Amino acid sequence: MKLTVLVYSAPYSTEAAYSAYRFTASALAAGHEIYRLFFYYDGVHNSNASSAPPQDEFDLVKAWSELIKTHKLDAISCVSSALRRGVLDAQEAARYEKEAASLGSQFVLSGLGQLVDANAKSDRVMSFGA
Amino acid sequence: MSSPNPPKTITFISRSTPYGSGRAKACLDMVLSAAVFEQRINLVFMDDGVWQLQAAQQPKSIDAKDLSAALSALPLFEVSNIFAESEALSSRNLDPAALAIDVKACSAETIAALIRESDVVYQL
Amino acid sequence: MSTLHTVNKTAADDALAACLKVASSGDSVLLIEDGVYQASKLAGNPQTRALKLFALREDADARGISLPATVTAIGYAQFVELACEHQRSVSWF
Repeated sequence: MKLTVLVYSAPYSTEAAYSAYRFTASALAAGHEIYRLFFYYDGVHNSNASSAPPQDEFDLVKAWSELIKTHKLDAISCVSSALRRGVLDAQEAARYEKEAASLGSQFVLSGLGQLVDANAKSDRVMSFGA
Repeated sequence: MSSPNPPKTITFISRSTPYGSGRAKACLDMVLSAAVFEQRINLVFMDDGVWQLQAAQQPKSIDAKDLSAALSALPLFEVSNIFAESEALSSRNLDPAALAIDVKACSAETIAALIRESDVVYQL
Repeated sequence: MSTLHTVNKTAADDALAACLKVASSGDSVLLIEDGVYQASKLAGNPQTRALKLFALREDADARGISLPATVTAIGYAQFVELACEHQRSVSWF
């Protein structure tokens, strides 16, 4: 099946983003297609490459990035959520004259229209929030 | 922008207060995006979400944008299937006839039926 | 066509109550994360008679919670299967 996974929550604050990661990895392992990962609201923190957890803790941002890279997934962070929370790509950082661009290289900033599109083209949408 | 085809029936269950968190605003933004892409939309206010419907909100006092004013723009986006859970209104002493926008007061059974008719459901 | 409901909050939150208010006969309720603390309560609730009840084993094990017989323990692979078997899902949080 074609699945879209929607993540509303930040890593470490609650378990929800981790659950979304495990669900996505399991769906891929079972041979399903992930049509899109959509990170919305606090979920955009999953795409912040500046996250640097202690070495003995599970690195969720890194795990997402590796999963996305390995399976060539379409991973979108909602641009309006991300700008508010300081998760910018180089283009947005330049546009708003901010010092740092922290969006991970495996993620793309785009609008909510991409979620509506995912809605239309996926068989199922699974949401994870807290 | 082209509309995803075919349109799907999407039910949004808005269950959060308007200003204590960003969830109500995030839910409304999703509704408006789906409306722009001409999806079939139901918007349901449940539990604490009905506080979004309180009249005379003046959020300038906390430097916030008026969410109820944004809700009143929904008809312009042709979002007309707007429901509020009767029990949630009455338990909070909210008069269905004196809300910030027109909604259809409905039972939990009606909300259950809306979910059953939906392709996708978002709860925020 | 049935719905998969996930709930990830303890009884201090109204997420499970909201879910049960609008769940339909034949739907499935899956407790995940802190939702697993409500497994016993869910099993004894007369509102759940027409529902199928599940809890995520990883989350229950993590918290040292044993599940009542009427709540089926499942892993992530079965979570994915449930998501596919049901026509839609609602995440209550």
